[in-house]
Amino acid sequence: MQHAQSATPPENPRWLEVEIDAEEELADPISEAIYEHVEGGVAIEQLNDRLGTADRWEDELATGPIKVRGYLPMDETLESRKLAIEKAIFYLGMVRPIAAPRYRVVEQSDWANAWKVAFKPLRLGKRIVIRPSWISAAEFPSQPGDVTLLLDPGLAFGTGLHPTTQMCALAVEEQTRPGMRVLDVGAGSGVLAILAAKFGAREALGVDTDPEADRATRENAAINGVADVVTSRRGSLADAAEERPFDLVVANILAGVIIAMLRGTPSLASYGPRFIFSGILDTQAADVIAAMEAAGLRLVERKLIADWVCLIGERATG
Amino acid sequence: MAKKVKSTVKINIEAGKATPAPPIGPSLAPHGINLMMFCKEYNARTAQQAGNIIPATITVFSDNSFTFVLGTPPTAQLIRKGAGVDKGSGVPNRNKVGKITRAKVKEIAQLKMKDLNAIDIEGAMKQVEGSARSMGIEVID
Repeated sequence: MQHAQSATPPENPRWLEVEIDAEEELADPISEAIYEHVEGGVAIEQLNDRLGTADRWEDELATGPIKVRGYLPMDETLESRKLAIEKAIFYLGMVRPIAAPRYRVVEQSDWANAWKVAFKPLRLGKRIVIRPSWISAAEFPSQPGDVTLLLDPGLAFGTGLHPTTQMCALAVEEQTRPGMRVLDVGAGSGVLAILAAKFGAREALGVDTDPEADRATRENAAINGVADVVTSRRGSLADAAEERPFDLVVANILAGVIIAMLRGTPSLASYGPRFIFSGILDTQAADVIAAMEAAGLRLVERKLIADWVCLIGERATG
Repeated sequence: MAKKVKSTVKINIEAGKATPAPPIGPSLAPHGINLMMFCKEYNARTAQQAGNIIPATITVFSDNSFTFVLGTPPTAQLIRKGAGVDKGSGVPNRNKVGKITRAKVKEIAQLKMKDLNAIDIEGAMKQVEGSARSMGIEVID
């Protein structure tokens, strides 16, 4: 979501993983020493080698070996980055011995699928069922009136598990009427656009600045048999200006992005009459509501799950 | 039944910039953590602190659920910021690369107090001063 518009990335990027064994006091200094040479940041992992030995989880501590890991892109900077890391570790090692870094090539596909085992079908509200394709309909029988969404959570946002997605899904169900035209800003996996199509929308357009999201929305729309209703393109709200007005605009992003959108879009209210905003922490709701009002919207409903809110607004008349 | 702690993973990344790319993807996915859920939570809760490295310490339970707490930026980063330098010195005893005021050291010590094992602010300041000197940054009044 925070990606700027960039060229479509390769299907399965590869990285060189650097792994360094660390004693407890050295984990942070090592992390600090390699931070500027790796991409994105550093991870420090410690497994619990005495699983289940404490009575309360609060008392349970991971005490296994500590590993510090960083990742280098496989490009022309690789050798110089490796050298810089080895130099930094060499100097740190003069204070206290540190084993040489280990290297291993990893691919996006190694981790993109790793957590799927934990993903179970999910029921939202009374009628919506979100089911990953690797669980068959027989394993999770639907009930009469169910609206089932086949959704494989990939690397794009919106897998139905997050409170904000749950609230938005319910809001889309409540707000969508047959024949409506719906815009999903920051579509992610496309879950909300597809849901709108399932509830009878005539047209559902998803826009997202992340190319991974554009791809996911198309694929998920096809899997759910609504490719004729759901379209997708890379971009933001302004890239849907020609198609306005919509009957319903839904944006499940983050408070900061939504406020920027509310403030920065000329005649924002002309995109809908109805708007659903989420991805907002309860503590940020007042700022979003203020921006909504400044943009000519009136708050009509507010949902809350945990400390996340979903705000439903309507173009103020007069 | 009590939840069992499977592992802890500490991620040092820039506030508001979590994505499923490395280091988050390859280090959290093998623990069964829903990457998107973590990224969204992290970004929402660190949005105010853009530009700082905000560590997140994630506790993973045996049922693949997780909780995380946010830490404070690393001392070295705060010192570099306070001294206005990009990089510490490679040879800190000989090449001094910058200066930091005692007032700034106190500010950093206050911010880091909960993460340092110091009993009072003076003790925390001594630790921060030590870190500054080891980076080739002089402490001045």
